[in-house]
Amino acid sequence: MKCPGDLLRIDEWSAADRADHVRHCQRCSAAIRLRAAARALPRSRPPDRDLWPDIAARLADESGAGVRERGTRRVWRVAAVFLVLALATAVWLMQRQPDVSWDVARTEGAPVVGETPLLDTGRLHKGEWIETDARSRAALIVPELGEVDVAPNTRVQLVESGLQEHRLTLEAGAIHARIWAPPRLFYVQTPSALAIDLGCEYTLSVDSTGSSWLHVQFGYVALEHEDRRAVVPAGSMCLTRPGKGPGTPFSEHSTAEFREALIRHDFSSEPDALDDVLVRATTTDVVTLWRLVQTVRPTDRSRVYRRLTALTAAPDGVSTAGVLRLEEAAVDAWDHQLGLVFEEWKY
Amino acid sequence: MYAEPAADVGPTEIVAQSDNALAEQAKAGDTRAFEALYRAHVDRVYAICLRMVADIGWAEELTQDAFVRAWRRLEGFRGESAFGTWLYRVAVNVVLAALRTERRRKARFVRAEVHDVGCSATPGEAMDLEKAIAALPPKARMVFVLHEIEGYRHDEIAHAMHIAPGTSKAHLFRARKLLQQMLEQ
Repeated sequence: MKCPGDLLRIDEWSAADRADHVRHCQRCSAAIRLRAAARALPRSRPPDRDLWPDIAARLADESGAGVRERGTRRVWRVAAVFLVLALATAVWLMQRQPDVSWDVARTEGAPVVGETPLLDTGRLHKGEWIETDARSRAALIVPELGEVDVAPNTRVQLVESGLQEHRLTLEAGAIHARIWAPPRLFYVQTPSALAIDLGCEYTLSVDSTGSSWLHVQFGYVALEHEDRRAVVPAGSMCLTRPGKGPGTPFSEHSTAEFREALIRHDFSSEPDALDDVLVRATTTDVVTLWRLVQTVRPTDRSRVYRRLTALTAAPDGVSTAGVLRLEEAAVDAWDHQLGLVFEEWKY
Repeated sequence: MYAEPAADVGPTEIVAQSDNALAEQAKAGDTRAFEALYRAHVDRVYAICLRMVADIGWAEELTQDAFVRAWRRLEGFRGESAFGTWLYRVAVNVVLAALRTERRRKARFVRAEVHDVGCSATPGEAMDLEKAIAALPPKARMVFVLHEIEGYRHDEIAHAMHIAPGTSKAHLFRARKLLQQMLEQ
């Protein structure tokens, strides 16, 4: 079950779902252990000395009439202050521009928001950058949608935050996003692709060349650049290159040799790269091979499909001819068999 | 409001009465009834104050302030909730008000010694957690104590601390992360 990123929501699940999720989600598991430990702390602790004599002395100093008098005066003073504040607030609300900003909290070191070091918490306003150095980290709260952990040596800008979309630019470094919003509300632009949240948790990093790595822990993330698109499911990774966009997603358990061949196939014109991909593919890579069946040139489709069916059986009733023509029923049957049931998988 | 207690009521009888009955007597100015309430709840109030400010001396002052504030505000206690629940909220508000207004305390806040606040009756892991909580940055510590130990919701914390609910979540996120790091060390 997808991580909602909020223990209160997990508490609403059935015990079986909760236990199953916590078994697989290290973060929730750690947070639940911490919460349990906090709640098991003693609720009481006696002070080292009896405080009552001092309290009694203070009570004795207060006559009933005096207290009531002070209370009445205080009511009038508070009312007057509220009146002034209400008027000032009304004027301010009429004059101000809408404030588009996110809460941001320092988690380590001294991140810089705009040009100001963040000492504790603050606001990241639309158009502002947050920058961390090698020793600093920060947490951004995406209003009502989730949270983003900003890793060291990272530069991120809040581009937009509204009902229709929340958008960051990740220029360098890495972020870890946990989003529990409906799909297509949270976007991160990198130098090589646009990452579109489809309800997920993921890590996205950008290196000095502008290439980015996406690693999805839960749910799905779509990557887009011009007409090149990829949907990356949980447990998968994807490389994007400037000017080229996303490559083919692959399993986080794929071998280094397979990844290297796949990256050559995706981003170079080496004719033997696809052969290497097929030779190095294992049962871990069947989702990647199925993706390649749909994206390679029609003349290469047959040999990719042969390799796929050598690693895993085709769904019942699916013909090779139907797959090679990418007939909808055949594609649906394979998607269903591989667990790729999220509707936005099929662009 | 202040008055001497009724002479014909002994301490045993006072202790045996319910909090709400004691509160009614205290409203009438009976300080012995209020003392019974103090005896019943001081440990919990002190624990809240201490966890929130991580300073023993200041926690004692705030505990006294909380009971004095409660005495002054007894008219506002209508018995719709347990007296303890009402009193603990008064204590939390006293602490938060003190933190907002007494900026001179800040230096003392920063200097708070972690070993000062450990609970000697709490062994092993709990002891480590107490120390780690005390070592949190002030706002992260307050949100963590209120949310994770005292069971406040983010909207309640936001209201009490005069911050946005999102800021409360950010503090909790940060607190959890820092605590996990400290406990792993």
